[in-house]
Order: sequence, then C-alpha cells, then structure tokens
Amino acid sequence: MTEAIRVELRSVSRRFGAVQALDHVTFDVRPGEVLGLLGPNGAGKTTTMRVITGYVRPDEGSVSVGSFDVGRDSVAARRLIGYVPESAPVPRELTVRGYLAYCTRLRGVSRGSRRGAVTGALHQAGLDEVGHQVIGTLSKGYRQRVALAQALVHDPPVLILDEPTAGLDPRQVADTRALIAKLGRKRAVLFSSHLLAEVGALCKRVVVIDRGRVVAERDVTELTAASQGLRLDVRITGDVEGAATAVRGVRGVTAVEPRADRLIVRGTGSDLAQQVSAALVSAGFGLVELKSGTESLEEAYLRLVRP
Amino acid sequence: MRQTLAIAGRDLRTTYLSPFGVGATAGFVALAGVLLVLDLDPGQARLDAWFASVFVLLGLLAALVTMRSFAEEERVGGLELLLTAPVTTTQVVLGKLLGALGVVLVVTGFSVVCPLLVASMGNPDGGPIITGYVGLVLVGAAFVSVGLAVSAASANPLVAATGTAATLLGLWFAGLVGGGSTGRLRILLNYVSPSSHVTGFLRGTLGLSDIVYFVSLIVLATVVTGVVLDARR
Repeated sequence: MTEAIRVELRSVSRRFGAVQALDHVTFDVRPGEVLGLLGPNGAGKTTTMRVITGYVRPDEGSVSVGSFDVGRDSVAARRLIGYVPESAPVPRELTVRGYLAYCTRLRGVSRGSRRGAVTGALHQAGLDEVGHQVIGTLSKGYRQRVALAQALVHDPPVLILDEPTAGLDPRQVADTRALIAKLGRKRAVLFSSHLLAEVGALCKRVVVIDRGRVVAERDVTELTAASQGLRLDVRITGDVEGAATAVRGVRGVTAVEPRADRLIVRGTGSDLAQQVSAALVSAGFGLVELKSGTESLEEAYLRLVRP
Repeated sequence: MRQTLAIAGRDLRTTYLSPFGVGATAGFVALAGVLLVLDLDPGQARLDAWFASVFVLLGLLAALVTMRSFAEEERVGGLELLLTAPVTTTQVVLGKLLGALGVVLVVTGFSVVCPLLVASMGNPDGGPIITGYVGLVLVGAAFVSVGLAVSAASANPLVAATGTAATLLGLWFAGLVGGGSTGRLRILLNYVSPSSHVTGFLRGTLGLSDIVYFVSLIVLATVVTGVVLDARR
C-alpha cells in the first residue's frame, strides 16, 4: 500500500558557477496528483528534480519528502522516491529482469518480496513480454519503459519523471501518459515535459519555471483562462504597425502583437472587441475578420517565459 | 552490505557481459604471456622479473577498468540513478571498489597459466609465486582505488583512464627518481612509490610495512573518492 507523501521545496537556490540555476524555488507536490513542471530549456527543471532526488545539493533552502529532509535524511528520503532521469539510463548488457532484480537489491526490497516486486514493475510498465530480453536489444520506447519500471520496483509513494515521453512514438506516448495518470492516483508525481498538450492532458496543476524562478504555480484552467482575459485575433487591411499604434491606446488593452496581416490583441473587459474594432475603423483601417477567445496553455506559457 | 554487494555484482556482470571485459581479460593474459617470454632468463625458472612487469601492466588494467566505474557511468547517465538510490556514498564507493577488484581478480586468476607453464618446464620456487600473487592482489586493489578517485573526479572516460595511468606511472616511477636524489626527498619518494614496496613480494617475503603501505593507499584513495563524489552533489 503506497503511503500518502508530500514533497515540499522551500526557497531552494542553487548556483553553478556564474549561472543561477535555481532562485528561491518554492512549491509542493501533493499525494494523488500529477504536477506538471514546465519551462524552456535551461530553465531549471532538471536541477529542480535533481535537488528533490538528492543528486544535487541546494545552496540555500530545504527540500522535504514526507517527514524527511533531503539534506539531513537523504537516504531515508530517497527510499520514498522513484526517479526517471531525462536520458533513461539503463545498462544495455543486462536482461530486463536481471536489471530490475538488481534495482530491488539496491533499493532494499526484502529478499522474499523481490520476485514479486520485479514481476509487478514489469507488468505496470507493460514489459511482461520482454522480461528475459537483453536491454540493449530493445527499442527506445521499451528502454524508456524499463527506466520507468526501475522507478516503480520498490513501490515508492513519490515519482519524479524528467521528460518520460521524450523520443517515443505517438502510441508509446499515449501508453506512457495513461500509465502516469494511473500511477498519479495514489502517488505524488512530478512530471516535466516540453509538450504542453501533454501537461494539459495529464496535470491538473502546473509549475512554470524560467531562469531558475517559479513564474507561475496554479491550476491549468486558471493559467489559461483567468490570467490575461481575452485574446483577439484581428485581420485587417492596411499598415499593421499603424493599426497596432491605434489599438494600443484603447481602454482595457494590455498587449498588442503585430503580425503579417493581423494583430493579436490581449486585454480585459466585456466590450474589448467592440472597442478595438471601433478604434481600427475610425483610424481608417479595414476590418476583415475578428476572432475572440481565451489564451491556450501554449500562449499562457509563452507569455510567462518570454524574455 | 547487501547494497554494496549488489553494486559490485552489477559492475562485474556488466563488465563481463560486454566485449570490454572479455577483451581486457584476453589482452591482459596475452600481454602477460609476451612478458613471460621476454622476462624469462634462459635456463632459469624465476618469475620475479615477470611479476615486476605484470605490476606495471596491472596499472594499465586498473585505468581501463575504473574509467567505467564513475566517468563512463556518468557519461551514459547511470551514475545519476545510482547516486539517487537509497544508498550511502560509502556503499557506492565500496561497491565500485569491490566490482573493479573483482575484474582484477578474474584477470590475475587467468594469468596463473603463466607460472603453470613455467612449472611444467622447470621447477620454480613456489614461495615467490605465492607472494607474487598476494602482491598482485594488493597492488591491484591499490591501483583500482586510485583509479576510482580519478574516475570520480572526471566526467570523461578517456580523461579518467589517462589520468589514472599517468598518476599510477608517476607514483611507480617516483621510486626511480627517488634513487637519484638524496636526503628526505629520497626517503619520501621511495616511501610513496609502490615500486619500493613490491620487492619483498618478488623475493618471496610478506613485509608488514609493505602491506600497511598498500592498505593505507587503498583507504586513502577510497576516502578521497567518497569526498569527490560528495563534493559533486
């Protein structure tokens, strides 16, 4: 039976030379949820995961897994964690079963429970048919599953998954997502991905990190809907830059982005579309099309991490 | 202890399930055979010169074996999984040491064919052969300990192997440099050099000071490896 364990990061900072990899990062991962960790390359996602798993020590702040501080009770904290690093490093020379049997010994699974733990992890990761195969002969998708199985072999209450679907084909991605969703029902799962649709589909809550700082921590629905209100896609005739200048002065407009033949206008207010169209027409621009909507997760994400 | 043995067993298995392990063992035994032909004096069944050469060969083997222990494992990402498992740094270092030492024992075990060959043709003194093999195990353990410290400090296997070989050759030949110097420097260089501590093994004696030297080198290098690994976190 998996325990209900919470992971907490409190004001965690870490510097590598001149680079501030993490800057007072604070968030938590709750039991029974899959928390998405989003951010561009080099934002600090992997360092965050490495700090939680004890691979990297923070310069400041603290990380706790359940009642254990990762700095003071590192081994006890690590016993509660299953970790899949980004590159899914598994030894190519061993068979899947042989490798998982080694993992049970390494993670302190009792002698009598090892066979069952290996069989259970194989089954959960969908590896029943390839258990006796040498890992080096498996496809990348299967090796990724082996990496996931090694994280499950001691039935940990916390899973840290660094881009676990990277490099998989669409079918494997769908299978892995389904597995993560299932695992997240009983465990605290921290999951990073570059695929925003994936995070949107799997996670109720996301943490967005950029340049080592948490720039947002909220429900996916909040992030996409409540953040900056409306998004107008306005197709016009005439000079786009001039039209952008005309729209910038309109009440409620917070941002204007000129594109080839259109403007992307962000703002608030129930009459935003009406105000913008009136401003454009009065300035002499032809209005071809106006679409109104809320931001997608991708747009919300890009706005948060934009320089 | 269970986790330490698990790490050692995994390293030993992956070494011998890869072409590297078989190649390194075959290469070592083949070179040991060539050295036997070169070092054996006509009409004499003495193996001291052969053992002296095999000690140096052991340094190269240690460099190749230990580059995989940390540097190669870091390159492929496996070190991250190992250091995030619920094991202490001491268990990791001892596991790696036992795994690398296991390879050295297998390789030196195969090299027994050389003394057996000499015994089939002549009547060598058994004492120096036994102490020679005790020396091979002690020197092998000390060399892989030093190699592990260098490997832990490097993320590149080639750099680790080169660094280990250079360190061990430097230590080995410090004794020769010491022979050409005087005073305290001579004493110091002679003491730190493993080459000054293997002469007893070649003559068929087991000196306590030599055993203490190699055990001290193993302990010191093992502690350094642990400190280096912890400093990398």
